[in-house]
Amino acid sequence: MVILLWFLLAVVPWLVGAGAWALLGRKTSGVVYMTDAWITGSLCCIGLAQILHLLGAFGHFSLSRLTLLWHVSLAVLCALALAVVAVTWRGHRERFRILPQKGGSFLLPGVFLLMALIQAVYVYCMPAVTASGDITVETLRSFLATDGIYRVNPLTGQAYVQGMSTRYRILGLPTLYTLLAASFPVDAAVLVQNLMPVVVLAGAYMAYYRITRRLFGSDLRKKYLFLILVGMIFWCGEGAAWLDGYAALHGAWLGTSIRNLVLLPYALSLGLERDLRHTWPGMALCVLAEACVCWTFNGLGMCLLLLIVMGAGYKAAGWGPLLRLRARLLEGEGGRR
Amino acid sequence: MRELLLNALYGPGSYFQSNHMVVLALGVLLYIFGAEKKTTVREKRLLGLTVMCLVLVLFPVSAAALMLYQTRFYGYHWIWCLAPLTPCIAWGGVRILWELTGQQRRDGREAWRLAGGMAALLALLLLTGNLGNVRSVSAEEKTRLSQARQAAACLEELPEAEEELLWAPRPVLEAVRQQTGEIRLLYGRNMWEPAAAAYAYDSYPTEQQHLFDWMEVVDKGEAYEMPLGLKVYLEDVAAVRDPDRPLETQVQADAHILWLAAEQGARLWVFPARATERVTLACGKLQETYGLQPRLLEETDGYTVWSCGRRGEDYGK
Repeated sequence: MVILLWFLLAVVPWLVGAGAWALLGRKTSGVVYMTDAWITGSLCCIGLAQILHLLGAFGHFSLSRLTLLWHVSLAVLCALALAVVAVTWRGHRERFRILPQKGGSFLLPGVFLLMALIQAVYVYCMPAVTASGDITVETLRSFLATDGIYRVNPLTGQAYVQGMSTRYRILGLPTLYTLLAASFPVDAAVLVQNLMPVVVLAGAYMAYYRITRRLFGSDLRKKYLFLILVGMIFWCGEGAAWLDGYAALHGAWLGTSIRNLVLLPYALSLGLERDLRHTWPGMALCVLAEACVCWTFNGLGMCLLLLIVMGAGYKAAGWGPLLRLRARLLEGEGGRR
Repeated sequence: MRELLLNALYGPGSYFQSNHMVVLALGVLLYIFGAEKKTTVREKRLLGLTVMCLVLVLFPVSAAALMLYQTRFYGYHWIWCLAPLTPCIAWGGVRILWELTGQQRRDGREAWRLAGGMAALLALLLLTGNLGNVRSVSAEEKTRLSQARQAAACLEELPEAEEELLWAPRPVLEAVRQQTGEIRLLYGRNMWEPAAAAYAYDSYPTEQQHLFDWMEVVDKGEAYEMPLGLKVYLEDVAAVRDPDRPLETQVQADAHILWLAAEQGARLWVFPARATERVTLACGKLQETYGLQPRLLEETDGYTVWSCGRRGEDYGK
């Protein structure tokens, strides 16, 4: 069953994402990359789990009912996506890119794959580090024990007396994990602390691969060198909870880790596109997904802020006074020379 | 606001201590801008964004605004997530390695040069990174965790555990809720870790705070000083004071605390094994004074499990 879970975690997001991209890019006939499709599909799955979470938390649906809804909606989504992908595949097979383009030596991709594999094995096999304030496993267990969403306080198993924090109540990430745990006979702690981190790590490398595509085009050696360096940064910077290395290797199931490892790099890669008009659905998905996995109660999240800063930067780059200042500075430099 | 500004002012120093890799990002920026290297539009965008984000997180006023935006549940360090340090360092690393190791020169040795450059970069990353030994725990802590897990597994087997509230030392309470959702606790992790409940509205009554404090005293032993609130409570409310007979005073106080736990609904107790004698004495007094009938249910490595019934109740059989 665990193998089936791995298979579905790889295929379902890809299929949903590929369907979405094939539909969105049908006018431009853009290429549907595997990495883009998988990340987009995963964000759609997070969104679906969030809807079910809200039904459970505010509509008081039981977990067994939510699990049934989860299976049905995923099956419908997959069927629709499969139809779209099949139709597009028949007409434009070249639009789907499953593997990176050919060419180049195997050395750098091999080094990168070996490093990523070691990291995945490390994350999967090592006992979890309990992060301060993290109650994901307790929450999952309480959902499964009571067959409902937040029917009891996950920390005590007793009913809430004065009420629970809205910050917790609106986050759908524990429900996503619970739906997976309820669908497969996997121990909740193993699913959350060992299995999901591998998935998040894979998502992180896909998001970074997307950045390399934007920065290095078709230069495979540079792309894999970039990914190797990212992997090295993960290994070397893992000593504090706010660092990417810690997020990747010790606490990848946390919402903040998903944001830092997948959502922010993905939003950054979207912001590096030439024409931002085609990337706004992906950007909107990032912002919404962050709201589903992190506490952004008073703020609107880091992804939105990153996109705002990028947008402000682009605007400022074409701003008259700044251009004049830049020209003067450059002239001044030229004069000195 | 003043607090936010102070955090923003002194935060960078603390952040640098946790992540020296910022220096590498600054080095990349210096190399590209200082040497006036040619960059593509996308590379310019990445660099521009990095510079803007670094200015935002380093300048105290903008850093304070960012902290206000991200909510007070995250500290200063978290605003650094906005700065794309990892992509900037990795991109800069590729660029610098490519140029310094002459990858354009195809003389058959470029792979060796690249390997050498990567080794040097790895050394730099190791020097500037933060290898925190996050997973390393002391042997004592490891034993404690293992004992707590054993106690939790033992509790899962007990029929009383599904009916009664559990009162136990911290490690056992943590282990129990991580292992099963079926056992209910008198109080949870948020008693000592407010972040665990997202600083929620649900708070614990004073009696439960006293129970927590007492259990801490029993669990941590002589090295832990009894909190003032509990001391005052035992002296005033429980009227427990007799300086001439300290042992009897303690037994009386302990019995009162056990009674308080039963009153709060917790009738399944776990105590550290080294406190068994103390607990046995208190249980005798509890039976004599309050009419409750505690009894030892199980002994695990490091802990003892007790249940508490009323007089004449054939409890737990």
